[in-house]
Amino acid sequence: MYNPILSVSNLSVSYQNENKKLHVLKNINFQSKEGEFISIIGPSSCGKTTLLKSIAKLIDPCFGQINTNGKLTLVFQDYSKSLFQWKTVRQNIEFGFERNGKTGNFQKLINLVGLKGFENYHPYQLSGGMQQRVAIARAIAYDPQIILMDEPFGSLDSQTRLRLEDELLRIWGRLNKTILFVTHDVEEAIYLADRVIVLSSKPAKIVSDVRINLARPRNQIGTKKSKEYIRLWDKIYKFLQ
Amino acid sequence: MKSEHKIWGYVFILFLILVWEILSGANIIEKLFLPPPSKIAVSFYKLLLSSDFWIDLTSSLYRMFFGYAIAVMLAVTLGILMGSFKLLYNLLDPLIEFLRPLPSVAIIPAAILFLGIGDVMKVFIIVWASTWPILLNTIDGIRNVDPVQIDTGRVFGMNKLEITRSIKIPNAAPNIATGMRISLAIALILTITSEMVSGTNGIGLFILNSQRSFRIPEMYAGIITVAAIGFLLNLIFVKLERKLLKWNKEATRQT
Repeated sequence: MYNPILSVSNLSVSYQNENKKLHVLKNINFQSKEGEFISIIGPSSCGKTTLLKSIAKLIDPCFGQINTNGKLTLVFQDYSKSLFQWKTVRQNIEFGFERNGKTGNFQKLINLVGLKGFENYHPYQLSGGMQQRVAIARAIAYDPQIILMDEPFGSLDSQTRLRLEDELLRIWGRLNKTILFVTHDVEEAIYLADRVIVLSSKPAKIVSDVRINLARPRNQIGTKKSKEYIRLWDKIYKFLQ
Repeated sequence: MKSEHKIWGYVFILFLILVWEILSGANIIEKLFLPPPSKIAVSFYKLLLSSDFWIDLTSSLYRMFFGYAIAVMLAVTLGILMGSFKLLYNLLDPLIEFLRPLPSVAIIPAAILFLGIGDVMKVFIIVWASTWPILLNTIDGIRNVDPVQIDTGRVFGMNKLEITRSIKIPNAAPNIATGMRISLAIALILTITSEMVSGTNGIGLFILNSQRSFRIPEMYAGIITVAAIGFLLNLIFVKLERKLLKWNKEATRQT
């Protein structure tokens, strides 16, 4: 088959909670090819974040293997806690270039995320949506092959969220990056992805891996009205019941 | 709007001085012990013209800043280490909790035994007293950096040293500054105290000697000098802090 950029095999994670062992992830298996956009969806607190953190090596897996063929980084849900408050927008984004060890095209990147004119602002001077754009730009500046996103639009208002979904698709379309996007929103999962991986409640295992064959470029109105979209929505929503 | 309110505070001070002048001038309060402000102002002006006074002032400030600078370097370094290494923290924390509440002036006699009555002893006392607030605030700041910040460093491939240097220390900067501001006042207190206990020069000794030789207006002039130093240093510090750590004030105000 293809040479996967990411492969997760037999991954299990559990926490030792006082004297009880809490199983969070149970025997997770999936692979991703380069440039793929995968949404991971599941009931709230089912272990989606744990899965991302394991892949990002922020958590040690108890069992199983994670192989990545390239560099990765993570975009956190809580942008205000993740951004460097003492740095300006420019400095936050340049942090990504510095960590990559290469100079990058800052102007191109700031235009890509639509933050031109805000280079010298500090995060606290920006709206939530703009702050998350800075975090996304910082991640892109690092030039990883894989970008993990942990409910990045989860704390934004719905209009901003829809706009950022479109912007993310536009950005993803221009760069050949693999994205693993965790969300608890069925619409968001389908709208963005090539594949939706559905997790069960704790201990989470994969209950379905749904291919999304909706035409690209997608748009919020047309795509979500299509029969295929509605069929997929029904299908995935039933898995979550 | 804000500065208008502040003006009333200064007007009130002027009003108190005026009341003092009247009460003291009419000898309602003992003139000998509390001379009228006008008289103190005259001796303050004379002091400013005497070179002895400037020697006292500069030697006090020199000791103070020397001690303060050592305390800052020592406490910030140790605080970062203790905040980063749990083992070191567990080893030293009980000792610090024991030594910290000790009133610093209580160790002056012991310090004299080992270090004599010169500048070394005084600087040591200043370092001793100024270290604690900076140390504790630094440890606190380093230990309480938000886990998301540290995770952010890790997902950008940073090792522990890089995370400490580029993420933990900037995050702890507001705490470190708070400790430094508290210690600035403490350094001044210990400068004056140590000079009063054993001094050959300095503002502390000047105040004490003025009282002993019954030059009461000079004594008050000395006290006012110390008050002015404390006020000005704090003012400068707060201005600097606001400028350098503006991001913190604004960022914390939002959440």
